[in-house]
This record gives sequence, structure tokens and C-alpha cells, in this order.
Amino acid sequence: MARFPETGTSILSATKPVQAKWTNPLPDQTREVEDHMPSVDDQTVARVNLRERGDRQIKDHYDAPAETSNETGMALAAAEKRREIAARLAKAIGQALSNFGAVKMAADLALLKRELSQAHDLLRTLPTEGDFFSIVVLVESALGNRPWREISRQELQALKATLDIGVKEAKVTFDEYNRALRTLNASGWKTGPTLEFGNVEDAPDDDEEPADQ
Amino acid sequence: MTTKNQPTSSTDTHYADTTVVYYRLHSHSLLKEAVTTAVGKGTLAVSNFVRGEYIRGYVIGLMELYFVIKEEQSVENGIHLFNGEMGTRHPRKVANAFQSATSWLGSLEDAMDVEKTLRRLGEHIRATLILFDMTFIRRARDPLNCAIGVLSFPSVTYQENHLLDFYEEYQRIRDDPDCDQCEFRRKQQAKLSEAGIDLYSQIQQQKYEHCKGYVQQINWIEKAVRSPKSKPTCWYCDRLGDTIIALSPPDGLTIVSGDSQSFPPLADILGKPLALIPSLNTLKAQRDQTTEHLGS
Repeated sequence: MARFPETGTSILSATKPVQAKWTNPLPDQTREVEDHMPSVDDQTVARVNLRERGDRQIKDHYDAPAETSNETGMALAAAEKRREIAARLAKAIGQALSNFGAVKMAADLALLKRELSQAHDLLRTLPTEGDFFSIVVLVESALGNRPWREISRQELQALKATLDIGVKEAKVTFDEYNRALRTLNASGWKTGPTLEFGNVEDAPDDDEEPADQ
Repeated sequence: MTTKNQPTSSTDTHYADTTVVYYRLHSHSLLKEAVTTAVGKGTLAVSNFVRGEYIRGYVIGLMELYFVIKEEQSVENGIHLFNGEMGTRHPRKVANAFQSATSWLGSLEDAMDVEKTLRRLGEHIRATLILFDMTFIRRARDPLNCAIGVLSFPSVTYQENHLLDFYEEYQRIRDDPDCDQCEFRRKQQAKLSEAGIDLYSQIQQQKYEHCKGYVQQINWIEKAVRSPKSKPTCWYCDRLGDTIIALSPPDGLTIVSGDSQSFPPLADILGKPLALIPSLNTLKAQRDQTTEHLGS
């Protein structure tokens, strides 16, 4: 169930792909057809495709059943709530940036961490905002227990840009989360623990191979 | 920065063992830099067997931590129970790593809140594989075709169910592995015998007795050779990872490892070039020496 050769976190090709019901569809194949560049001799194709896409969008809205409208309304309300949360978090990190290098910054970071933690309680109730929730957890994990004096201005700015995604984007998807994870790591943030390793020296050789089943 | 068994060029293709994965993804910046220095202008390839060893060693351990916290409904009890089992975990080198991970988890805001900690841990588990695939782009062929090595998470909004699905599939593979382990064993035995390479005799054991990791590998190699099993089992890959990794790279690749207990003898016996990453303590001492030198 967990092999996702085309759409998973891996870039690998699995030998035995499994099509589960919750596997992502292949990346937007219909769009690929629509966005296909027509030959110079046949420019009308592009116009027709664009018009059809527009028609389809109108039709989708027109034909939406009542429960879909309700879901859309709830999703819009959730997005609005998420924007508010993101704005508050961005403001908190902006405060830390404005006091960068001063003792006050330590208190600003403590407040930011508390805001981030409190955001769990709010975002948990917004299932359509799961990817922004992931971004919040990413920022928390990056801040982690990193000594505040080791954090550079550029790194703080990278964190702010990450949280700003929640303010700017109409919809935050897995792609935004994925990009944020990559951007933060590229800008020097570690988004998990620093591990220390032991030696094998004390490991006893006391186990026997299991019997065949 | 590195000790090499044989001279290698800075443009060589390097073959990472699992310690290098940990160094690049989760370790002190000095270890990360040491890997970069060892690879130089060359490229670093990772096999899916190594990816599988990372999953077996770290990702699955974190999932077990996740579900023990969830079942206990207590972060403190979950971590306590999990740490209590560390002595029996394979590979044992990773046992300390989990203690670092649990300390990190415990240091975050409201860490005793079960729901918050579970979300953080679950997200971290998923992110580890995204980062793995982002960091190690180049793949070397895995001659065992380890099915665990290609496990992944769906690229969609986080759900706890993704962890369960991953874990379920992992267990299914372990219960009935469908890989080329037996074929690999047969081919390698023939190859070593043809080349007249003595990988694990008493003589080698005496020669490298100071390398406890290698001595331990010998014990398990002997068990594997004597084993009547006709089907693959993850039990051996859990234990013989170092030997499998040393045997796996195609000719001409330089193995990069931070394991000074297993890889120097293995590379020496097999005649493969090795770039050994020094320990963190050595690197820190070197850094301090350089700082002192510059100060005086």
C-alpha cells in the first residue's frame, strides 16, 4: 500500500507499483493535453482549448450540487481562518526580525514558539488546511532547540517567507509544503534533530536466525 | 579529512554507506563537511539497499515511537518505554540516535501534549524520506532489489494513516520478502571463491581482531553461510548490512563510510577503495587545533 513510484516522496521507480485508492493521480494529464503547444499553422487549437477550459469551469460551478457548495464555502472559511493564523505568526516572526541581535529577540522567539504551538489547536479543526499545518510544524521543528544566538537574520527571513505562504496563497497544497521544506533546508535550517551515534562494540552476538514460517 | 585505503581521485564516483546518510541528513555540521570533502568534485551515489537500511534503522524506529506514545496517551511514558528497548534494536549503532531524537522532541513547546508531539513526530518521519530523496539524487543499482528500499509516502496532505500504511507494507515485506538476497549470496560466494578472496576465515579474524564491527560481521557471515534457509529473510540484512554494502558497489566506485569498525577491513580484503570519515571527536579536535594555530 505504501509504494508510490510516480507520486510518492521518493524519486524512485518501484518494481511493483500498487494502485491504491488514495494514491495520487498522475500529474494532471488533462492539463498536459490542454496546454499542448499547437503548431504555428493551427493557432486556433489553443484558443478552442482555452475556451473549453473556461466553459468547463463555469459549468462546474453552475452544476455544483448543494453539498458541494457547502463544502466549498467551508473550505473558503477555513482558508480565511488560516490566513488570519498565518498573519499572526508572520507578525510574531517579524517582531523577532525587528529586534534581531538584541536581547529582546529571545523573548520574541519564545512568543513565536508559543504562537506556533497554539496554532496546532486552531489548524487541527481545519482539515482543508492540512498542508499549511505541515508548514507550521516544519517551522516549529526548524526552530526546535536551536540556540537563539546562532540564528542569522537570513535564516529568520527564510522562516518568515515560509509562514507568509499562508498569508499570500489562496490555497496551500502539498507542493507549497514540499517547496518550503526544500527551501528551508537549502537556506541552512535543520528541520529535525541532530543525531549522535553509538558504537557497535558492546553489541552482543546472542541471537539466532528465526525459523522458517 | 579522510583516510583512504587506496588513492582515489576527487572526481571519482563515491558509494555511500548508511553512516554517510545519517551524517548528511542528521548530524553535526563537521561530519557533513567531512563527507563533502571526501567526495570532492566527484559524485555520491546511494543504493536502494542503503535507503532500505535507513528505513529499517531510523524511519521504522520513529514509527514505533509514534505509536507507543499514541497508545500510552503519554509522551513521557511512550519515550520511557521506547528508550527501554534500545539495547535490543538493530542496528545498535542507531540506538543513541533515537535518544537524540526523543530529547529533541521533548524540547519543543508543549512537548507533553500528546497530539502536538504526535503531529511533530509524524511530520518528521515523512520529511526524513523527502529529504533523503532530495539529498541523494544519484542512485547506484541495488543488487538485492530490496523492496523496503523503495517504500515511500504519498505526496499528499499529511495523514496519520500514511504512517500506518507504510508500516503495514513494511511488515508485509518482512514477513515474506520478495528480493534477490539468495541470488546475491550465491553470486557473491562464487565471485569471492573465483577471485580467491578470503572474507571471513580465522586468519582474517585474527588479523583484524581490533575491528570489532568486522569481527561481528564474521559471526553473522558464518551463520549465513551455514544457514539452511532457501528463502530470503530480512533478519540477515538487519545484521549483515555492512558486508552487503561493501560487496555491492560496482568496480571503480569508492566506498564512503564513517564506520571505522567494519569498513576498513572489508574494503581492504575486497580490494575496494574506501574514503573513511573520521569520528566527530577527531574532527572537533582537528578544528580546535586549527583554531588554536590561527590564534597563536
